[in-house]
Amino acid sequence: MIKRRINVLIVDDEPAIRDSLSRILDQKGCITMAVRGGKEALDVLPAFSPDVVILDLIMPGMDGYEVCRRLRLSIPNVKVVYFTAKVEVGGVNESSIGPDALIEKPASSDRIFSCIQKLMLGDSKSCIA
Amino acid sequence: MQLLDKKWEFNQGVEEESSFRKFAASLPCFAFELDNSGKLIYANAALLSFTGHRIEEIHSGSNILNIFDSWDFELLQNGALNRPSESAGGKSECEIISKIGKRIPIEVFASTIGGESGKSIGLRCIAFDISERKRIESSILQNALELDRVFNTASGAMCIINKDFSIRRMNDEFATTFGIDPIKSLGRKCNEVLARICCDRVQCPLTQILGGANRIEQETEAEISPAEKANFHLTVVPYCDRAGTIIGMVSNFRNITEIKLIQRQLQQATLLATLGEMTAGIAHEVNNPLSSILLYSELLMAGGANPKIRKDLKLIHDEAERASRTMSELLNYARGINTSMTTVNLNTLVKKVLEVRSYQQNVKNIHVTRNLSRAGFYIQGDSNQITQVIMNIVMNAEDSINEKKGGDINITTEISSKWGRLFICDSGKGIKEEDLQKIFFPFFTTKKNAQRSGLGLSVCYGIVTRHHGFIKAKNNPSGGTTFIVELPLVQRVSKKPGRTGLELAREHD
Repeated sequence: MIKRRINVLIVDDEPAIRDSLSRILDQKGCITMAVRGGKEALDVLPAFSPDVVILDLIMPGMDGYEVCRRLRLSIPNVKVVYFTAKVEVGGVNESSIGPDALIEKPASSDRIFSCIQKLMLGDSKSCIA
Repeated sequence: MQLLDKKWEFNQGVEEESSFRKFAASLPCFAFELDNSGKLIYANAALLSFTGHRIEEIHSGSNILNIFDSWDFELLQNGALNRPSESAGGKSECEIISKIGKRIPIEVFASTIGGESGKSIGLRCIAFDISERKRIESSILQNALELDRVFNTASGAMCIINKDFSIRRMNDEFATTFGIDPIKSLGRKCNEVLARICCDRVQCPLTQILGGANRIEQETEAEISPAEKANFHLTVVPYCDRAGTIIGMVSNFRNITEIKLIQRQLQQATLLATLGEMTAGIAHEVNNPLSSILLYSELLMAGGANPKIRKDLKLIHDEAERASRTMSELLNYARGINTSMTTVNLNTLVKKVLEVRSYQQNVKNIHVTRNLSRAGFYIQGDSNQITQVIMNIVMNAEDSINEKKGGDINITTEISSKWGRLFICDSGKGIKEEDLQKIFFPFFTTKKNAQRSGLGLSVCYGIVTRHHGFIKAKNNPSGGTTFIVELPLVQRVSKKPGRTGLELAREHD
């Protein structure tokens, strides 16, 4: 089996997070694309097909939940990670449109990357942070 | 009445009218004469008119004594005989009954009738209708009973003090509340009897009342037993005589200890809720930049900077992580993250915590005892969070115990029909009274150890509240602190009917 690089789409309205996170994941061997909102994320889909989406929840315009729902309609098997500083979050994997994992901000790059790896191996529960 | 003093000529059986009879005939009150056997021998018009008898019935000698009820003729007679010089020699109260059964109370005054030999041959009486007086007396008595009833069943502790500072009266509640014997204290000075209980010598209410105050309302603290103080709302008003002259004061102590406690708890709950919302907001705003700081510092460290810069970057990274841990604790306080509610036996969680802590407790020379309820302490809750609460309180208890001296921790659980209680009692240094109100506030800590964020108990408070329970702390009289956690129990449906609580407890041991 040929080991493929993981495509990660980062959706966050904070430029510093987009920049730092994409550079770190690039260093770890992922192919990243970072956008500032839900609309941009959906726009980029035809050109970039993500394996994993790191998704902020509170963003101007479309919020993370809505982005997640629409992403799943376009790419049913995409893995979605809520990356959030928001206080109340519904249960993980509660429904098909829920996220596959949840990471609370702030989190170290190691934790984010190991979560991505586990998701790619099909192990979602162990990376609920 | 003076007329009765005079010795009227009277001969039994002689039909001539004496001066008394002449005088009595026109009197509006009752007048009559009796012989020494108590037989009626004369009645005036007013009496005959009331009873409905005819004069012939009296002249015929028929005994109509039964017109009087509760009649004590001997008493009247002895009175008249023994005190002949007094205006109303004999005095008695009875009732007079008419032919048709109508009754009125009367008061009878009697004097003796002197015969020719100077010996008494009968009684000469005047009687007054006292129904109005009786009615007023009865109404006064009723009012007194009513006041007494109100006074003694009032929830306030009331006391009337004369202007010479002597205790005039106190109600049952006053005696019970302050443990005073009313009989021994009536008439004694208030500042002696109440000295250590509720006497305010600096701002004596009585002095203020005598100085012209119309009403005093104040909160005061009073001793209800040698070891216990309570908060009271004190109302004092002047006590006046009929002329309106102040002759003392009436004071009413209403126990507001419970109300004050609830007020404080409510204030605390409101404050904590506000703090919770605020911390959640702050956490969100701070966590985003913290994420960037963490990620950039990691990025720079991975970029092969020189060792000195790397060291500084590591410091930036670690400090950001420290801030992040604080934020995460804050958030734990502010919300119930990922709560998974199941039916858990709190006793099992207590045992787990004690197992985890047993090593540290041994090292610190802490002796732990536990008295867990025999039946399971089943609650609907998140076992991780409840464990966190128990762990937190137990660790605080350990911290409060001096490492060199060692000490005790006792954990007790008890259950009633709807509530379960967890008591964690330590023999440590206790909590200052003024701090007891603040220990559940975020960032409040008395520990100098930098490892303590001051969030532990506020997180516990948040968790217990979310489980619809209560948490409180108090200092033990013998030293140390007891934390009490109250949680609502769930009724556990047993698979096999008829199993006892004990069996259920064994099953879960």
